[in-house]
Parts: sequence; structure tokens; C-alpha cells
Amino acid sequence: MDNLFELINMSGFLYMTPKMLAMWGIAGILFYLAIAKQFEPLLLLPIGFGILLANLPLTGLMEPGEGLIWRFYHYGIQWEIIPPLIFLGVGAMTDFGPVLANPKLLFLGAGAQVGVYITFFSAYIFGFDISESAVIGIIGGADGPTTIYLAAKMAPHMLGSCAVAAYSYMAMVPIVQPPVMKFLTTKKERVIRMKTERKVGRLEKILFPILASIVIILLIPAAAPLMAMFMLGNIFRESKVVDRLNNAAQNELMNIATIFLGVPVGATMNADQFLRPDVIFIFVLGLIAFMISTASGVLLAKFMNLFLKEGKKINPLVGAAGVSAVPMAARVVHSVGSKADKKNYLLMHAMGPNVAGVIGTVMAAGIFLSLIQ
Amino acid sequence: MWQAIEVSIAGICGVMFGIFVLYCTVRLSGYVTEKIENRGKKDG
Repeated sequence: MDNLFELINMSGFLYMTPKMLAMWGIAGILFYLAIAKQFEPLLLLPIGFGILLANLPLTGLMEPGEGLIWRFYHYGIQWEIIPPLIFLGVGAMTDFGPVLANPKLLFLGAGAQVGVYITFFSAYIFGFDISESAVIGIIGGADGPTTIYLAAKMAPHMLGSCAVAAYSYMAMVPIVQPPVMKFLTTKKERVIRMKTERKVGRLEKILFPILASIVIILLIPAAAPLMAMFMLGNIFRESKVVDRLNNAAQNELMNIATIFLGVPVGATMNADQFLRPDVIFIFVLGLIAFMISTASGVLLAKFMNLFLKEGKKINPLVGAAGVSAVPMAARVVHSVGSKADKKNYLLMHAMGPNVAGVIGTVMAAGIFLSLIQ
Repeated sequence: MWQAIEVSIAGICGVMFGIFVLYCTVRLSGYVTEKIENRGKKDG
């Protein structure tokens, strides 16, 4: 009989709390979004499962020094290994051709980072400390791995909430961006057709990751881990002599890194850390950051048009792709543009600012690390 | 407060400057590679 009581005492049921049940509900919402709505399922599904595991009592999975998922978290994220591996895969998947063919589109990737800094300042005004504000601001870049990388270094206690906010908004690009884009542009601007630019040669595509690594890392050394892996992945792709490495970076390695990123990020969200009023603020400010980033990209494109000749003008919708959600933001630009003019094919033009946005967000994160740490 | 203002301004300017330097690099490498490819075509 004593053994039976002991067994009951050792089970987790007696240690359940209402907060844990609330977190199960949040995990359930992520499962729903990932499985039924297919919103960023590759990340939201493992994050949701991580949340569930972190809110089961007595498992010890996130016990420092001992827990299985804590080890994934510590050696993968705190040691800054997994986000750069994700960037290796992203680099291997990225075609810089559109941005090389029309380099002025690079500026739209920078313009969209204005939202990051405006939100950083707003978060600081609302009472977050300077490191926390930086992590909230970077959500506006809509770049999951960069958000996780920065959060792990500057505000680890906010890692889970910021990562979920970043991936949620990346998934909601088709809902969040179009109203902002339509509000800031006229019908006449939305139907601007952009000319197909020149074809980019192989040598130029090979030189780009080498030169970009040198320039960006010399300018912002703190951005080196992410930028180096991003450009390494890209040179695997463009050199066309290491197909095996290119395929591994794009597929197997990327998939493994995604699993070991999602589960521990979700597992950082235990009830005590997540169910706090400031987490709601993080989500609200993150959404504002994302909307300002979209708006600043569109407004910069309109500003650039003031100096461009007729026939060379940029469709301002393309500026919205300056956030880094690749390729979702570019698809949304194309979709909004084709609603105004069915024959306007903006996808390839929007891919330019989209990949420039990834570079811009990494630079923004590097600047935060340089100036604040 | 001042630190936040400084970081915001330095951040926006820093990203813009970084992208400007990258833009110049892309333009320059595009020009050089075009010359090399044209010379290769002529020689070929």
C-alpha cells in the first residue's frame, strides 16, 4: 500500500498547477496554427511541443546541467551554434541574383530596419531595460534565427516569448503587411511596372558572398557568426562545385538544426516566465515593430522614386519586402501588386529587398551587440 | 534615456552606411566582372 502511495506521490498529477494548464492551452494554439493553418509549421510545431514538455511537472527536462532539453538549449543556443547553422542553410537557399542585378534595392533592406530602432526606443520608454528593448526591437526584422541569437546573448529570459512573437508575425505576413502597404500607396503607385534587369553572371554571384563577408564583417565584427555562415552557405550554392555540401546545408543540416532550435526555444517558456503582463507588451511591441518596418520600407521606396527617372521607378510595394521573412514577404508584395495590375510580375523584384532585409537585420543585431554589450 | 537615443540613431545610420558600402561593393564588382566577361568573349 505504501508503495502505491509513493507511486502516486511520484507522479506529476499532484504537482500540476493552473498556470501549467494555461501553458498547455498556448501549446495547443501553436499546434493548431502549425497543423490546421500551416503557419510556419516547421518552427511552431517543435516550439509548441517544447512548451508542452516544459510545463509537465517533475520531468527535469530543463534542469540546468542535467535535463536533456536543457543540454540542447545550452550547447545549441547559448553556445551560439544552432542559429548560425540555420543561416548556413538559408545562405545555401538564397539567390542574390535580383539584388545584384538591381543593387539599389539593397537600400530597401536597410530602410525596413528603421522599425527595429523605433521599437527599440519605444520599448525602452515603456520600462524595459536596454538589452530587453534591443531584443524586442529586432522582432521587427521578422527574422527568427537572428531574434533567437540576439535574445540568447542579451536577454535569455525573453528568448521564448520573442521567438514565438517573431515566428508568429513571420507567419502572419499575409495578414499584417497588406493593410499597411495599401494605406501608404496610391493605386497609381501600385501599378508601377519594374523593368527586368540584366542577367547576372556566375563570376559576380561567386564574388558577392566573398566581398560581402569582408565588407560586413569588417564594418560590424559582432555580426560575424551569422553573416559568415550565411555567406558560406551562399558560396556553396554559387560555386556549383560542392553540390553535396550545398544539399546538406539546405536539407539535412537545416532540418536537424530546426528541430534542435524549436524544441528548446519552446521549453524556455515555463509558466512562471511566460505568464506575465510584460509578455503581452512584447507581443504588442513586436507587432508594432513589424508594421513600422513594413511602412518604412514602403516610404523609403517612395522617397527613392523622387530621384529616379521615369521608367526606372520602383514600385513602392517592393519596399515592404525589406523585412527578412523570406520568401513570404516577397510573395505578399507580388500578390498585392497583382491585385492592382494582374500582369504586373513583382516577385523577382521583391526578392531583392527581401534578401537585403536578411543582411540588414543581421547588421542591426550586430550593432546592438556592439553598442550595448 | 540618452543611451537609447544614441543607440537608435547610431543603429539606423550604421545599417544605412553598411548597406551603402555593400552597394558600392556590388556596383564595383559588377563593373569589374562585366569587363572581365566582355574581354573573355572578345578573346574567345
